[in-house]
Amino acid sequence: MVDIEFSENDLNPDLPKIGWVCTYTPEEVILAAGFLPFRILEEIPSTKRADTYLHYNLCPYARSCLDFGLKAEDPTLRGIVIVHSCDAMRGLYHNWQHYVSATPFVHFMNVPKNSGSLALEYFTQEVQKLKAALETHINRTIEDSALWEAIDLYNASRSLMAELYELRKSPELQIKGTTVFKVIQASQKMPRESFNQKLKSLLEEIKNQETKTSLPQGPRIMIVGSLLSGSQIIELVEDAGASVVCDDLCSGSRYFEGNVEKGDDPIKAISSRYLLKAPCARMKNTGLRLERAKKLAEDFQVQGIIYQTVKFCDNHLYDYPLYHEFFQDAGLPVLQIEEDFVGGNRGQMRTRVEAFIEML
Amino acid sequence: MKDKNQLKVTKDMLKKESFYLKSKLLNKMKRDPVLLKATRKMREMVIDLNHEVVKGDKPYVLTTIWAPSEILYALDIIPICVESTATTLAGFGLSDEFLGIAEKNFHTPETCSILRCGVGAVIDKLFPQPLAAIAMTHFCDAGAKVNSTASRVYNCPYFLIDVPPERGEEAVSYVAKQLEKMAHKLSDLLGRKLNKQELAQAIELSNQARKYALRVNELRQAVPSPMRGSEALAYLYMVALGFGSKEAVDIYRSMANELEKRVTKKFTPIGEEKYRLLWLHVRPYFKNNLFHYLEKERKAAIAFEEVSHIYWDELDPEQPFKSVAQRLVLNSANGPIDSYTDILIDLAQKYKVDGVLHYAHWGCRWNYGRLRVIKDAFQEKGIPFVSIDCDSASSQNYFEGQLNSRIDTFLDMLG
Repeated sequence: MVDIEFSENDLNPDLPKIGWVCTYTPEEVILAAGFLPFRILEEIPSTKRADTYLHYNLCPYARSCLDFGLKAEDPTLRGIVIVHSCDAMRGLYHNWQHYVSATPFVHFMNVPKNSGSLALEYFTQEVQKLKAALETHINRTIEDSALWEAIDLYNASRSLMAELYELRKSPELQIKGTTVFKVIQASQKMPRESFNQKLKSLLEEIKNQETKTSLPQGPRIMIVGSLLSGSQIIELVEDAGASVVCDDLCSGSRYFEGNVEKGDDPIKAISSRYLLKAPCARMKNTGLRLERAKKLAEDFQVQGIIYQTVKFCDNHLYDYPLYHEFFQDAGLPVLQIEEDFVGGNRGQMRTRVEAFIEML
Repeated sequence: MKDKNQLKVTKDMLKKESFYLKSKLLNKMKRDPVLLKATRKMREMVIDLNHEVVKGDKPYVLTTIWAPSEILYALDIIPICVESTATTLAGFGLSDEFLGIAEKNFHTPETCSILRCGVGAVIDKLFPQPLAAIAMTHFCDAGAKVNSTASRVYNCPYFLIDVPPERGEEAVSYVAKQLEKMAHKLSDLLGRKLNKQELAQAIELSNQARKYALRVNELRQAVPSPMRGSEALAYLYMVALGFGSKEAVDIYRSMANELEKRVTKKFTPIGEEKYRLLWLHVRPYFKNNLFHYLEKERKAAIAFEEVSHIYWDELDPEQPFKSVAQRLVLNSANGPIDSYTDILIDLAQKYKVDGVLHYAHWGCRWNYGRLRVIKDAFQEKGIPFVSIDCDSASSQNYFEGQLNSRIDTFLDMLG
């Protein structure tokens, strides 16, 4: 079975970084400013330090990000861009701004929930403001050529990740869900050139395999939800004899789907891609999300859905009844799993996943 | 003691006209010697608006709190707010029933009980068919989700107004454009044209109400406090949904006149004032003894509550959308956290409070996200602050004994 490994240096290189926490962050602008865009998402997240600042009934991912900032162990982290993707992220910004002193650059960016022309016009101004704030910070202009270069790198990355996902449509799976998860997670932390090179090699390796080894043919599962802290849910599914073949996650396909289209104005092009990308539950257009999930389920011949929510994530929690009804009507069983993000409830989760897979 | 003027309400009663007629009568008869006439008028306004909705005489929209009410009143559309409906249901002792409906429909009990009760009411179709559902984004994610659900349940248009959490011109312009677009679409749904004059009139009414509300707030700086905070907290309804209506002008004018007299006579409805408090966030809406305990037993006056703060400038009738957009965007709790804490500290000083009581409604994410910063801002100024984790719509998470103990500790600390 083909696999890939990323070293510690791959995932945390000694380069000046700007952290980000939400996939609505236009990473290309950060890269064009000379920083490595770096998703704040630890392998073993903790909320210990953050718990005195953010109440326990707030999203544990937001709390773990604050914890990371308070810990201040990464001297290469020069700043953070926090997007107003939800109430918890807004809270994260208030607290980061006040209590994290290690990052000189802290920028808050608004993202509309609408996606029409007025919203796009406003969002473009927000991306422009991010560029201006970074320019002030680095004391130089970010040239259009640097933005186009960053766009090219990211587009190449996104296309490669889409290619990797495409392979999973086949009934004979040659790559495990946990491996794919590792790739996506690395893409959110690594320098693009080396990531693209590494993923290209993996794709070549899969294509050039002399003897194709497929995974055992178990039920095909799609995970829908917010973001996974680690690959534990995927491991549970795969340990139970099923395969995770696709997802609608911000630590998955929602991150890379759709490229920036080339045009005259790189900021407009970037804004358009990010606002109109595969939508998160925070966006208004729920119908579009459901249609996309339905198409993914069809294209990847999915037999069961795991609806994952990070604890206290209102946007995804409020959508669950809708997804439940929608997939039940489509004849696809749904299992809801709530993650506390810091490793609790694993035993209970295992039992539920196993029972679900058995039922399929 | 049982109040004979208190109706035992069931959810089916709420769908009948007779309930509102009886409620109106009981509101007039209810014995409470220190209740302001203005408050009775406000209650009558709420009863009348809901009555109109039940009768089906007038179009209404389901909205979230802090609605662009001037635009709705100009179009003669009644705003029915999911949050205030939920709190009313809690007051009737019905919230647990609607929370149960939400939970049966896969809504987890870990979300805000106010909005979960609201979504239960939507799923159960407590309300008749609305013209549309609208939501504002500046306060919470859940409100937008509930009214999105409403638009599906009722198969009606859904207008989501993005209100960015910043105060710049771009934000105001973005909101104004969205409001204008929504107003035209609502007019189309009503089969009428948007009338500039009607919009200007609603803005004028909003300005008049604002003028009296400012006077009210000025009068409330008096020591002793001329108004019960428990009563004043109900005016969140007016600030968030009433501006632009004729009733709001009448209510605030009446309130200003009544308080003027009380201040002259140094009358305080709680009898004696030992402590003065600034109240932050919301309150419990189900039957409780909290306010009786605070005001009557511990003689702690709620001198002011953040929800009554009038933060916006006079609106411009010539630019109705821009003006209303400014009113939404400039909401004290929207925008940078430091501007918000500056406002709170100013209120604490202006109302000469001994301490600040923050009623932290469990499940309110945006409120919990800012809590530590607020606490530290007061601490830095040496203003005593206490935050109490509680629930506003579900009495299941309300433990009066514990609550009173925390209040006792806090008040004793104040001296």
